[in-house]
Amino acid sequence: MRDNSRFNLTRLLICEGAKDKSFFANFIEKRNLPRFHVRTTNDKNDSGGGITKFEMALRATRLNRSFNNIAHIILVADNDEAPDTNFNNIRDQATRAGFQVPESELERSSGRPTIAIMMLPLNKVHGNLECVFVEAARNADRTISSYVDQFAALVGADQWTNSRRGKAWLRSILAVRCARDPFIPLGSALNDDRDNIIPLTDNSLDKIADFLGSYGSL
Amino acid sequence: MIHSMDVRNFRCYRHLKVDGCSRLNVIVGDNGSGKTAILESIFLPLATGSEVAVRLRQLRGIDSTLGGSMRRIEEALWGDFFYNNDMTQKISLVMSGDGRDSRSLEISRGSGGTELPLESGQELLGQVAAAPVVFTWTDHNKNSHIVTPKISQSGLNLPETGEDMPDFFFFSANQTVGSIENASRFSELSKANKQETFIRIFSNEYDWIENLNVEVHAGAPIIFASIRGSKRKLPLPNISSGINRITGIMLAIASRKKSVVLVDEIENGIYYRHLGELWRSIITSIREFDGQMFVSTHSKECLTALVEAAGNDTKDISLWRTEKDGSEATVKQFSGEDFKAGIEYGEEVR
Repeated sequence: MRDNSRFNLTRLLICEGAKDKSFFANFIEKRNLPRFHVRTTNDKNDSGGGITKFEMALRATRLNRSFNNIAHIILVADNDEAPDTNFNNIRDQATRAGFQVPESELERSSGRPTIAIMMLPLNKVHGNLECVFVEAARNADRTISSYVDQFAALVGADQWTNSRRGKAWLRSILAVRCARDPFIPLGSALNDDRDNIIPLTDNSLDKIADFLGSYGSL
Repeated sequence: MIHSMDVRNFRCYRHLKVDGCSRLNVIVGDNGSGKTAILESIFLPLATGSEVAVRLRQLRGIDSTLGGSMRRIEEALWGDFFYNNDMTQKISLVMSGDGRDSRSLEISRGSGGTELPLESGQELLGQVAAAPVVFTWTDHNKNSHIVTPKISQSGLNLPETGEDMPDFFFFSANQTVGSIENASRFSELSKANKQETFIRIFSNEYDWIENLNVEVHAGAPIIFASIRGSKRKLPLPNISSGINRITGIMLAIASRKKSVVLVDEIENGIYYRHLGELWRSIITSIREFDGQMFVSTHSKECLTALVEAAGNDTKDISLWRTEKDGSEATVKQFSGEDFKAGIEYGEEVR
């Protein structure tokens, strides 16, 4: 979904892909957080542009006629298995695009617009967006979660990377818990809370909410 | 090469300063937001008096007669040059660049009470006393050349300053490129033995055109093209008006080293599938012949084709976007990398 509309808010969040976009749009609404424009690193592509396209997205954003309205930008990306490398990669892309950058995660740079980088999962934990939801999904149904844990153990998931394990775990619980569509895409599950598979109000997501909420006073 | 420009009280610009002009400057913006005014603000300092007169006649449709009071004539000729039509404020157009491209022009109205100078023997009824408009060009050696336009019943005349002028060309939005003009430029290129480079660049994109040369056709020189698979050469204007326009633009770039070429609405007359060929030809030519272009366009297809043609080499390209708030226009300048990112991301860059 392309969002070329005028920036009438002062806050912009740019994330890697469509799943992230769906999460943040729903999360902000559900938690009644300060409103952000949410874009992916390539809104032309349904799946987004991934971690390598932050520079393009930032440069393109500058061409929006209402770019001057934007005072704060948050860039959101996955740690994958290299939190420091990925953070520095995004920082370098923002620098190349001509923006002032922060020294560390969740810090706002000086200048206008400010830039902050949120790496997921927080606290340099290896993994990706799916890993962020594991705890929330576990809390939503502990019984089925324990079965998924057993399944993961049986297939040797403890030998996998956090990213692979998180995705497999989440895919499994989505398949089991969403009776109407075992193939339900993650973005759809986040959009539709009928099944309450990933409750966005879960405490495990509070730190993300706190950070976004801190923009309310700016 | 023009490096920067400083424009004051001209058309919709109260003050416009642009630093860091690129080799290829692409100007976009809404209708009436000041795209053509930018091209004119470059054209006027670089032009000779007679070119200004010709252009004004074309722009204002004053090929033949002038009528009405002197003030009306004056306003019709010059009024919209001045920001907010305020002819009491001097226009200043300063181009800073290499060598002869460093030129400036001031257009000012003399003090009141002096009549607009008419050529001898001319009488206009009901005239109102008005001050003359004075053009003062300053060349790269800081010499001033002052010209006062004359109006006769045959139209407007600006005397020449007799200077050695920079090489520049201005293609208006709907201007037909004259076939004799093209032939003349091609002939100059040929005499300098540089036509091979031009033909190579040209046929790289239009590979069905194998060769070009000037032939006399019904008494007039015209560029003829050798077409692959055709026994007879064909006059270039007969092949396509779009190809003729592209040829005109490319010849303007190629006929002199370091020429400045201005093109208003470059996409006019060119089928969208040929826009890539156009840009590749232009990019190759301006780099090969060390030229500089200022180009306006409304077309997203045209901008997309440029980004595709440039590939990753956008360092000598910039995008200028005119924006207008009330009566005052401004320009935002973006790097070639930002421009490319905007197109690739799908941002509305126009």
